[in-house]
Amino acid sequence: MKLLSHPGVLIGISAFAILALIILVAIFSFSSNDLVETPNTPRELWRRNLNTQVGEGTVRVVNSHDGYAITVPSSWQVPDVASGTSGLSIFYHPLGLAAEGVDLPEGLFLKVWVEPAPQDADIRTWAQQNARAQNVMPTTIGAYSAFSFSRPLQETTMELETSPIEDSLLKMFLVQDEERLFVISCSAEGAEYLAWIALCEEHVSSFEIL
Amino acid sequence: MKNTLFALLIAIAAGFGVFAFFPETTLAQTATCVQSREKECFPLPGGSALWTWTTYLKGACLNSSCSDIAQSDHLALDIAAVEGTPVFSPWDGVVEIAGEDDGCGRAVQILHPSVNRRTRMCHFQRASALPVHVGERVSAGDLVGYVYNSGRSHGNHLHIQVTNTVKGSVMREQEVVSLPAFRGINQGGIGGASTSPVFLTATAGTTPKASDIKLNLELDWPRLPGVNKTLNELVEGTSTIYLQNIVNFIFLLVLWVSAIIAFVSVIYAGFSYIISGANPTARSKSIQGIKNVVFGTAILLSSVVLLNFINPNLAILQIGISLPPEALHLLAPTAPTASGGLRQNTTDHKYYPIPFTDRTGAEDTFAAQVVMSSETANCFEEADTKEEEDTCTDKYEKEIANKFKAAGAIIVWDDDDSQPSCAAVCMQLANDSLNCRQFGSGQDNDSGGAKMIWDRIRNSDGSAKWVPSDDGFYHVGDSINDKWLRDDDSITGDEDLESRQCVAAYVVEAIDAPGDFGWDACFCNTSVTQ
Repeated sequence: MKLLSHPGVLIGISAFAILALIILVAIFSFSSNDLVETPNTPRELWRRNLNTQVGEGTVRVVNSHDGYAITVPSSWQVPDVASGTSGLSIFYHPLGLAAEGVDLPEGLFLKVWVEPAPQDADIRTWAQQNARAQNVMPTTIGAYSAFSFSRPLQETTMELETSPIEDSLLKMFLVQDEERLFVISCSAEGAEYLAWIALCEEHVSSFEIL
Repeated sequence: MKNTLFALLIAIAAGFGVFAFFPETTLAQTATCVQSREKECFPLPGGSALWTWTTYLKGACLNSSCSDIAQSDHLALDIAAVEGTPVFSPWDGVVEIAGEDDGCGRAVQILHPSVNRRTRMCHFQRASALPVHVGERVSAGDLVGYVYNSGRSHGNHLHIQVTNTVKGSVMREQEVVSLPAFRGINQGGIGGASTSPVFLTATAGTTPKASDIKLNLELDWPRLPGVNKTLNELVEGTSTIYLQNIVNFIFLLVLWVSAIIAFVSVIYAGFSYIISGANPTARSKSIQGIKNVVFGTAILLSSVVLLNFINPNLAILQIGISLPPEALHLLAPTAPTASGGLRQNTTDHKYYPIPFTDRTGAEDTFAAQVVMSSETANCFEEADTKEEEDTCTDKYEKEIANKFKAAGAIIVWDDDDSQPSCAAVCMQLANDSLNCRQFGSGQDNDSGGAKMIWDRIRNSDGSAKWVPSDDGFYHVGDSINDKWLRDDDSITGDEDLESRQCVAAYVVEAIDAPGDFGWDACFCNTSVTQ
């Protein structure tokens, strides 16, 4: 207690404590601007706030936490947040917006999520193992070298076999930087699936790694 | 000293006042009950000594409103839920799929041999590995995944598809929600809370623990006189405000105010010290002021650390609730009671809890539970073809019928269908008279199928006419039509209760738990346990 009677020590402790308090409160209050708490989930898996920048008939969707952006037509249904585990999910159907929380047999999904860059396997192998890809081809997305493949959507039957879904297509693009593998998928089902995939592909070219 | 006390009070208010304020609460997880889907939220009573509130549990019924679910032909159940909501296996089983399934997204499929079902659950989160793997055995209640909207899904939800592996048919939405494992959903009990099970395990008779059910607390704010609106309605245009948001706001406000007060106090004390010169009283006062700030800050920080230790996600202070017992009964698979109890209506059948006097003269209510024998369970497990499964089903149904026969029910075996027919399940009452219940084409003793059945099995004096066959069952042929319960929605429980001494017959499918009904078999109202 004698030590606490020394004014210099007191002022030092006070200043340190107050600084610590301010930092602590500031961290708790402001550090998750690009994150939305997902209860009982590690912080790195919290949902990501999406920043949208509206252009002429388009909207640029920025996920600053995961470090990517993509521009899509403003008529597409862009959520407010992206999942920390499963990424961004954008939906489009020409008839309008879908209610949330439902299965959608028809329409276009543009999804973007981030995986750790495959360490022991190249992207082709990753795609084969994780997305049932057959012919993974090199391609480009804007300025980035990428890989892509396409195949019909598949469903698993009761007999645990997979069968292709009629009038459907999945086109997946894979872009890798040093640590991350960005997976961009366009999946369409419905009579206009080819047109929707083409539309999606067109906008995938706007993908940017930030 | 005054400052120390002040700081202490702030610390208490900030850190522990939460507990004082809500004495029945514990720190736990909260859910988001989306206001725009208020119809899907089911109010439960709750409260403490200091507060009353209305709690809301997020329910099911996304692609159809709850009231429409009985009419739905949807071959699955979609349950809206917050991302990350854990999903548990409804029954014991073996994992068949655990991974990507295109439209289904990240999916888990489990075969449940003991109940002849297969569940497929879709749209789970990616990234972190699924908690189960192909070939793995899981028990009812085991964690199998977390809700998201992977695959061809829009919005976070769980898609549950249940298949009857014997029939090879996919159950409709209304059938799924009527299963005990999902009954909580049907009754507005389970689902949607961010850490609560989307559905409970199917263990009949178990009661969910309060800790299983985490709620969003929604204050039932008083309406302001004159405008007849709550304060929140005036400010935000919505009638609700979430309690934890308010607590969170107050908590952070107190932290900030405390920090500012401490900051100002220490500067003031330091400045006082500098200008106090040689005045010992002033110096001492300044030093004491700084000490007070130090102690106050230390206590405040301790409370923050403690709270953060209890709840690592301090960014949103989370408040849970221990449900009062009277709320829990809404969630548990509850046996019907004489006062009405559980009453299920679907387009296909009705389910009446009616009290009765059994043949021993005891007052009884429905409390039947038949557990599949291990021999039959093995039969299903070893069955490789549908034909073999059918054999097991026959065996199982005979097993069920025997159990009910042993309990006093007189089972009329419908030879056309090779199964006990709902059209003629009878009960031998205390006076040895036979009472039968026919749910098919007749509404009372004296008409339609009920009369036909009655006439076939009794003499005019009411004594038994038939002699059971060697197998102990009464057999009928095609003269007993199969217009079962499903064809008749006009029967009401009250009428039958008035017109007959006997019994409610409960229609069951694979009778593995009370209330698990279909129309393959049925049983009289009696207590049967293995």
